[in-house]
Amino acid sequence: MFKKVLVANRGEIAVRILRACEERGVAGVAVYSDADRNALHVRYAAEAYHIGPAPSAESYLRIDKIIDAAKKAGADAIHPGYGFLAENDDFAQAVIDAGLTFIGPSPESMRLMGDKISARNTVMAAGVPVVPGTAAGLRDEEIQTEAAAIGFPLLIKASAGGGGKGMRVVRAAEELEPSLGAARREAKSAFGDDTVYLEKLIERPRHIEIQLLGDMHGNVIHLGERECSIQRRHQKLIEEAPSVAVNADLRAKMGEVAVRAAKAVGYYSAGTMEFLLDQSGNFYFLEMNTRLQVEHPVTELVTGVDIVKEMMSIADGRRLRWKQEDITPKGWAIECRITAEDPINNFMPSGGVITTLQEPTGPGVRVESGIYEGFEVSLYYDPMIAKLIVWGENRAEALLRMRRALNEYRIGGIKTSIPFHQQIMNSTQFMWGTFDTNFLQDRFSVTFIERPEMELSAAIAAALVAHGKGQRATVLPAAAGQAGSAWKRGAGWKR
Amino acid sequence: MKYIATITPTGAPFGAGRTYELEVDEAGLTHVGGQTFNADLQAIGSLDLYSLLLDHKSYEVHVQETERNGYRVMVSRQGYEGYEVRVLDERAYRASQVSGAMAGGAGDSAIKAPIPGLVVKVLIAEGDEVAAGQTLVILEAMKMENELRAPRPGVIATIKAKPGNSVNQGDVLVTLH
Repeated sequence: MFKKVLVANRGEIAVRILRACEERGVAGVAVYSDADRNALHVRYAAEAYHIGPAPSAESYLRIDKIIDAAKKAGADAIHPGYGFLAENDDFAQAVIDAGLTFIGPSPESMRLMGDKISARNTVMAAGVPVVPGTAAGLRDEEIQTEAAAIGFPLLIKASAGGGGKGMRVVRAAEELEPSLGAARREAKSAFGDDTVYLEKLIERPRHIEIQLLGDMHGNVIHLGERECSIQRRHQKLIEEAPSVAVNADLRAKMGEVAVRAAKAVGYYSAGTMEFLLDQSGNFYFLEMNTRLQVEHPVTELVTGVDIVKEMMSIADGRRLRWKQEDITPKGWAIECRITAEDPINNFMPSGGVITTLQEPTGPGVRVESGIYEGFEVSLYYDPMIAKLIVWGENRAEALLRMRRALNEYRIGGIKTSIPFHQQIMNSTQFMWGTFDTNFLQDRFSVTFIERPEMELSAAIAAALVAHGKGQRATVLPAAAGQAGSAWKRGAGWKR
Repeated sequence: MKYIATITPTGAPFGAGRTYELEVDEAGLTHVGGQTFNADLQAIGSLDLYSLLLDHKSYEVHVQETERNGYRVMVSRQGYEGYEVRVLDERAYRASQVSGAMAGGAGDSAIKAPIPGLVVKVLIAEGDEVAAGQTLVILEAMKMENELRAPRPGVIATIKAKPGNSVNQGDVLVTLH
C-alpha cells in the first residue's frame, strides 16, 4: 500500500478521501487555492500545499501544479475525487508519467468511456441496450423510414444542438414531416447547421445507475443500483439505494450487462453506468462515469463496502475481496445533497460565513461535510457543502430517519437546500416512490411555510435578551460592591 | 418593561415585517398581545446560544446582536427558521417613530445585491409605486438570472443599479421608501 496519498480535490469529498487514508494508515495530503486556505480539508490533512488562486482553472484544474505538489510532498499516489480532473485522462496519464499511482481507472478506459459516441459504440458491442436512434446527417426520405423503425414518440435532435433548440417531440407519423422542417429551420438559424438525428423518446424515465467495482485482474462486480431521479436541471439532489422501481430480477439483469460492458473494456477501479429506465422496465445506457460518484455513500451503506478504500486497494494491484454472490444489499439508504442555495428563491446561490452549525447525528445517520462554524462559503466552487445520508431497515424507516435528521440539521448564516429536502420528504409522491426525472420540474414547487409559533419564540427570545442587557446596564453601576446578587434581578433572565 | 419587536423571516421570498408588543414583568412572565407566557431563557455555554422553554415547549435559539438593537435570531424546533429582529423599548420606539417621520428616511429599506453579479435590467424608475414581491432588478450571477423583488410595498426612493454594471455582494441597488 502507498505511504502517502495526495487528494486533488476540495470540500466534503476531499475530507471523505482523507478519512479513508487515515483508516488505512496512509498520510493524506491536501491541496488548496487562495480561497481555501482555511477550508476543512486543509485542516484535516496531515500536510497541505498551495496550488494557486481561487478560480479552479488556475488551481484545482492545474495538472502541473498538482503533480508538483505531490512531488514536493513525496506522495506516491493521487486520488482525484469527483469533478475537477477526475475524468481527465490527460491528468491520469500525467500522474502515471510522473511515476505516481493514479487511484482510478486506466487513462485508456477513461478515454474510451468518457466520449459519448465511443462509449455508446463500446457498450452496444457488449450487448448493452442504448436508446434507439439514428446517426446524424440522414436525408428526409431516410428519416421517414428510420422513424417508422424506431417507433413513436420520438425526438428530433439537432447535431449541433443544445438548450433544446432544434429539438422536437414527434408523437405520430403524420407529425413527422412538419416537425422535421421546423427542427431543421430552427437548427439552421441557431447553429448554422440543419443536421438532425432521431432518438426514441423515453417518457417519464427514471435515472437508475449501477455501481461497478473492478480490479486489474479482470474481475468486475456490481454493487447494485442507485435511484437518482430527483434532479433539478440535470443536477441530482436526492439519491437512494436501492430503487423502488428495481426488483431482484431487474437488478441482476442491469448489473449483468453493466459488468459485461466493463469487462469488455478491461475496466478497473470504481465506475458507474447510468441508465434510463422506462415505465415498462426497459433500460437504456446513458453514459458511464469513470470515477467515484457524489452519491457513493448510499451504496456503501446498503452493501457495507467502503468504495474509496477499495479504490485504493485496486490501485495497489490487489484482487477484489468479493465475488458477485457475496454482495447482498441490506436495508435502505437515502442521501440529500446540502447546497448553499436558497430553494425558496429559485435556488439562488448563497455565500457567506457559517455562523451556526449543528450537524445531525444518532442512529443510522452519516454526514459528509466540508464546512464548519466560522467557515466562509465562497461562490468560486460548486454550491454543494455537505451530504446527509441515512440508513434504515426499509424505505419507510430511512425516510422517517431522514426527516428527523433534517430537523436536527442547523446551518446558520447562509441559505441552504434543507427546507427543500424537508418538503420533498413530506411529499406524498416521494413517499410512494412514484416519481421520475421530470418530477421536480413538473410536479413540485418549494413554498415558504410560515411557522407563527417560531416567529413568536424569536420575538420573545430577542426581547428577553434585550431586557437582560437593559437590566444589567441599569443595575451594574448602582450595584458596585454587591454585583454578585445584582445579576439575579433580571426577570426571567439567568446567565 | 414594554418592548416593541419588529420581525422579518429571513427565509421568506419577500418578508413583511411584523410587529409584536411585549411586556416583561417583575415575575418573569412575558405578555404578548393579551396572552401571557412563561418564558424561561437560559444561556447555554457559548455566548449566543440559548434554551427557551416557552410554556414548557422547548426551543433552541441563537440570538446574535448584529447592530444596535438589531438581532439575528435562529429558532430551532423540528427544523429551524431565521429572523431579523429589531427590539426597542417603548420610549426608544416612540422616539424612533418621531425622528423617522421628521427625517423621512428612517423607514427606507435598501435592496442589496445578495451575490456579486451583473445588473441586467432595472425594471422600475425613481418615484414608482411598487407592490410587495414585484421584481425590481434582474441580476445575473453564476450564469443565471436572478430576480430581486420588493420586500414590501413602497415608493422607489433611489436607484443605484445601472444595467451593465458589476456589483459586489451587499451593494445597495435600490432604496424603497
